[in-house]
Amino acid sequence: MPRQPRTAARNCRRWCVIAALAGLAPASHAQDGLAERVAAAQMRLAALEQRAARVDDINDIENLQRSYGYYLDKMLWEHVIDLFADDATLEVGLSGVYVGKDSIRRYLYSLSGGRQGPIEGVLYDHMQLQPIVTVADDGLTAEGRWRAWILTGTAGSGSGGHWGEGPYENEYVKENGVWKISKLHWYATYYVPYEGGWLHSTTDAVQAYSEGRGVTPDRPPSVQYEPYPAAFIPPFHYPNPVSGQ
Amino acid sequence: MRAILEMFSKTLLLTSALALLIVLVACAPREDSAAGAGETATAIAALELAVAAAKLEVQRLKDFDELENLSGIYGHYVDKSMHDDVADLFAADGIVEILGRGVFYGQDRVRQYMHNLSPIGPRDGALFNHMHLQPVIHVAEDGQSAHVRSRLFVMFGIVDTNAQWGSGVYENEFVKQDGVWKLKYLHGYQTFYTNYEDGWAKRSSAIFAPYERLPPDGPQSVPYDPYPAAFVPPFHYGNPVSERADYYGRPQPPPAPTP
Repeated sequence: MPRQPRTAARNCRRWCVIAALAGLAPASHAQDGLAERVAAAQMRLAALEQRAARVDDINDIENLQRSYGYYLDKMLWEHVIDLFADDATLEVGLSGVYVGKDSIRRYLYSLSGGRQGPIEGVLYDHMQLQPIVTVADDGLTAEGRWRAWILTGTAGSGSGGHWGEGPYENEYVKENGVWKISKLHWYATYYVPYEGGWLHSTTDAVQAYSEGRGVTPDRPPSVQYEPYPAAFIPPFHYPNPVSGQ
Repeated sequence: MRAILEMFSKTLLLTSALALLIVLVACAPREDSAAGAGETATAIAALELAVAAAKLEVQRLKDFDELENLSGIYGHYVDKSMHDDVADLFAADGIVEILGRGVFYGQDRVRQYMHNLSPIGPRDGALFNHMHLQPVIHVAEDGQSAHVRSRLFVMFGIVDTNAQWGSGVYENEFVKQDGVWKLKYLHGYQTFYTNYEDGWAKRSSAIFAPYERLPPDGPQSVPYDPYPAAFVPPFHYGNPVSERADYYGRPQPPPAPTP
């Protein structure tokens, strides 16, 4: 089965539209207004092309963030790290902020005792749900709010596993036509044992889940908050889409 | 007509590039009005090509959404044991492979497989929820085939008797026939199935074996054990940024098995 031809052909197709339009000097010789109509159609098409490109950006970012989830599930750390821009930041729950790929790598490997790949007996599923992706007009940066729904567990631990849940407010950057994660920030709502579920919830459990093991972050947590049962609204990157407030 | 259209889409890039060159040459400033007329005609020709390219791009965006809908629709039908509606989503030569039940070839066998699960339609006292989440969608450049990786999260139940969680990953293939997307190969990998009382980490099912009352046409295409064993369901795509495709010795899922 062929690999996904990724964006090369698609980018080329888009380039053809833009270049074809840009290559046309505005017609200066009026012929019964025909040249003006052609010029107007060129502009309309260029505008439509921009709108299509922004929708395509949203699709790419959804694929990117969902792939992050599938890689995280299996602790495929090098694949996770590949998704980040060089100067990206990562902040998970109460982990503090890890800056740059080297720091992100230190954090991720610390979670699995320095190894990569799925570990027998360990479940580490992180479902990536409910995206609200907002792309900047220039198509070079974007923001996304998502929800992680987490199922973890260790066979033989005596527990049925853990639930975790909380929203992301992430940022993305397009470099050389490819979207990357520039900021990953997961706000913990809860991380609780399977038994009893969210009937009881402690900050300690969130800390134990999200903090690096034996590594220190480059910066303290960027937002001070307590997980459930404390009341807290992770800030939204967008205004209300209806009221605009 | 379809073949002509497909050929057109494949040659569009070359044609556009060629037309662009012509346009750039033709658009060189000239003074006489005859040249002006030629200039406008060339501009219209280039515009037509650009419209065709844009149309193709918008079609791919629509494909993306239709595939997302189709994946979700499958789940909604399965929830309610709408077995014929499920089977209708498959191409005539569609294939189904779920957990360790083996491979079933062709829409008729898909229909048998679905009917084998339960009587048709929802039943009082039975819960069969199949949430389909987290789709990663890639449409082939020619717009005629696609792959979708998605997540399954299941809630089974017989009221007052038992309740279960289930989870898995799909790697599905789709084909477009007469302008309609259909399931070509539905492949569900098992992560865990467990009783609600226990939770997934305490006890989870081994791979589900083929039904004795409905033997498959072919064996499970990828041998593996579900959680607590360590297993990465093969990805149909390389890393979205680096394009690396080495996933623990299984670079890609195997092609759809053949009868």
